Amino acid sequence: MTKQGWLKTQGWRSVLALGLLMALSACVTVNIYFPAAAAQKLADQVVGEVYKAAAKGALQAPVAPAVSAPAPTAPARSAAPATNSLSMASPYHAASYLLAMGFSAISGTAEAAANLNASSPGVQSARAQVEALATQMHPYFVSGAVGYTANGQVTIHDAAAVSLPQRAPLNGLVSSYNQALSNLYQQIADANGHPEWAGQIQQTFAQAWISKAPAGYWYQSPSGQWQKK
Amino acid sequence: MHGRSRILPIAVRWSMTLCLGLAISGVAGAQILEISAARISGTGWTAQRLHATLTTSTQGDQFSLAAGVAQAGKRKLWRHARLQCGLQTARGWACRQAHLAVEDSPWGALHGDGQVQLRRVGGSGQAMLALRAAQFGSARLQVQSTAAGQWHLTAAGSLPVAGLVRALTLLPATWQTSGQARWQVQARGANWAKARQIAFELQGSQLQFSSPDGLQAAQGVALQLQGDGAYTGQWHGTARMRWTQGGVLWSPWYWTAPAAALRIQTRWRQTAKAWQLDQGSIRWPGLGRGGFALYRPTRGGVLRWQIRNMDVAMAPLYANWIKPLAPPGGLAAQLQASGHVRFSVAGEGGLSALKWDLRNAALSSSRGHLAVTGVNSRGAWSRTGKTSDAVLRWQSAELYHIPAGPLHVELVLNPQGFQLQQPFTLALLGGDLHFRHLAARWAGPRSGFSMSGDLRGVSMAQLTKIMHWPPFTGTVSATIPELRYHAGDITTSGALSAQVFGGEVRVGDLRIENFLGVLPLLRTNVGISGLRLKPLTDAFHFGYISGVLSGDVKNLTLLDWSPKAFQAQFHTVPVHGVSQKISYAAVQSLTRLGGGNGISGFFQGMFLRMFKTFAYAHLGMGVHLKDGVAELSGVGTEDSGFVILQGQGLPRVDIVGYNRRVDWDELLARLKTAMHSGAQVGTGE
Repeated sequence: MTKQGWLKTQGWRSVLALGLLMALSACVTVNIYFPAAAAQKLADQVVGEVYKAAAKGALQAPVAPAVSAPAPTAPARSAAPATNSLSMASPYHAASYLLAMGFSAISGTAEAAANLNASSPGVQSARAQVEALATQMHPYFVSGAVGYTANGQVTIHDAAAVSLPQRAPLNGLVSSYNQALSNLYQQIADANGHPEWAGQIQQTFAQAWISKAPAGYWYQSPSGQWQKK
Repeated sequence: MHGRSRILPIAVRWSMTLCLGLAISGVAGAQILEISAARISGTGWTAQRLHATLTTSTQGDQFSLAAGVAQAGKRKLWRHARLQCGLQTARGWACRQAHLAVEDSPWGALHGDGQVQLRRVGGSGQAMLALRAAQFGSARLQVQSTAAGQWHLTAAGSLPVAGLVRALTLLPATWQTSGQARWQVQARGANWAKARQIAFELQGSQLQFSSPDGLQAAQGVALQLQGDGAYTGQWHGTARMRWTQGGVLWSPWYWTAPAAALRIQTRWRQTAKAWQLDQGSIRWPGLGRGGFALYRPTRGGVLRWQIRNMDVAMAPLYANWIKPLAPPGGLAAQLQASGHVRFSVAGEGGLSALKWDLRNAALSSSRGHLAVTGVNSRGAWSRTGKTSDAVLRWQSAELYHIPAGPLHVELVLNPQGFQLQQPFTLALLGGDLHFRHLAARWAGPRSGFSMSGDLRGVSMAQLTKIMHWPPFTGTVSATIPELRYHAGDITTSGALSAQVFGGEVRVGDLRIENFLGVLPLLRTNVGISGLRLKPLTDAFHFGYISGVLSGDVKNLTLLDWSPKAFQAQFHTVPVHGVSQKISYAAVQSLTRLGGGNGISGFFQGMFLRMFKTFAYAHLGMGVHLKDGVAELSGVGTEDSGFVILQGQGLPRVDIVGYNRRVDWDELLARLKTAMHSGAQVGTGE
């Protein structure tokens, strides 16, 4: 082997080693994104039970739902910066790219299991408060005095839909119910070790409050238009 | 024309600022008299751009009067009003079948019919006006005047209140109003420009109003307003109101008219600076009675009001006035009150002073979490920066069914809150709770209550019985460093330490959310050190164990006072002079707790029964509770099991558990069984 050939072989080996190193370093970073499917399932379950409790008018300690759906996770993302393959002229870059892409293709099928825990005492307490207030809110939803907003809260739709005595506590009830809802979303996020998920959980619940709402309930579209179920 | 010419000087005397134009012309056999005035004004009213036309012809006389603007005070009542009629001058001036058209008024555009009559009787003039319009209702007005200008006016009518409310700007323009009002006015004056006396009566029925969001509204209201006034350099008089029907919503409050009418009467006064109501009285059947005063500056400034010596029943006062301010679901929203209170309150841009005398009151919550009886309190508070004293007494109290003894506490109130004048002690479960510090702040980020003190000699037997906890004997004493209550949550800034069973229990990072609400949530960390096992096991009927126990309970979480999660571990620590022994019964109890059925072997049991106690080297257990499942551990491991008891000497007894995961309810059942079946063994120690 000529010196030039030896150098070339050594160069390719270095490139391969470096590429492997980068690929391996890429596999260390596993980003677990918000488990949307599990959140949706949990939201449907909680919302259904809150509606049921509100309609029944009975206050019962909530039973912790056992939701353990595997969460969709992002494929292992390469820590290597995205590069334009067309600009990879050197064998070094080509090898690195191919290895990294190859590993990504393999690791992309792997899923990091993530469950949404809604059984923490904090969530149970928050749910109990939501259900207690939902019982008081029920006649206002049925009459159309209040409705759900597009972001998982409630607001006054038509106060005149209820009698004057019923209207008196309405503002306070709406305010307290929104606080209880926000607390519920935050408690679920906290129970799962991701306080930053509260906003996404709220949005997931927002869809559930509307989709599972009984006929006659009012809700706001994202543009703020009122619609009746 | 004599009659006409005598009218003019009167009109001239009306005018404060007058620009009068007079023209007489003749066209095609008709004679036309035109009078125009830029502005005529009297007390509280002004008319602008007046134009009167009198046309005489062989077909008859015609009269028309147009006014550009007519206003009361600064409010424009009518714009572009025009009155037309056929004029008869046989006996005075009579304008029959008059037609009135107004382009803009508080009632909208008006078209009405009526008649106007002006005549001279003896030495006095008389004017009559009758008017009826679909939008306006009807009005009949009669004025008599002497040649010297003294006059007497009588008027009556009915009208929709919507226009009246708009005319007087009683409510914002965007609010809807409806209802009918019948009114009467009598007035007299020494000259045309100034009234000297007035009497009025207004009867409203089916009155309604509603704000755009519907949170301020009234329905079916009937009320009567009467009053009189006189001018002696300034206007003053009396007014009376009766509210007999209907309901008024002023969110979050809602009031209905009492069965016997609500009566308000007051003296009123209008000066250049303000409207004043004083010597007012309120009689609200079912609530109470008292006095009031009000001062409203006419040129801006803050409304000042006082309610004086209101003597009211606490039940309706709390239900209808105080409770609506409480957040739904909180403690205050669950309370009922009784008793009487006499209070005075003043406001100036918010509450500024309060003085109260509460007698024989009681408070109780619907869920039975709180009950206070025999409450008496007296005190005063002012926002102006001065401190004042208050006294609070009660006969008895219960919190979560824990009874507390009589209370007598003296407080110092300041604008921001209150604090104790001197420490006090409250009898509690055979011991007492000594308050070293108790304070409150009304507002701000540190609003709420705070206290620190000592718990001394509280009976655990009574406490555990009330709380439905496993029975405990002995007493507990504890130091409470600082405990704060804010918006339904309780937190501590330090560790509560209690001396029990010869050792110390330290409760740190305590936080109770939704205290006295739905499913309260308690989180804390508990540390235990130096607990003597003998008195502890005596208390529990667990069997005899001697030794010293230490350990901790981390992340203890109670939901509705039931454990939901924690990581606990307890273990004995050898202490010089303290033996480490365990009785046969305690071994049985521990075995059951670990998941076994006790010492079941015949010979094994018979052999062990021969000994009162056994020495041990280590004793301990760990429990990790999560999601209703407890994971058990011990002081060591053996094979795949965990060691709860490691014996020492002969005969040696070891207890090893193999079932690490157990349902929490099952573990509680085991504990209950162990505590009830564990016979006490006399050891002579």
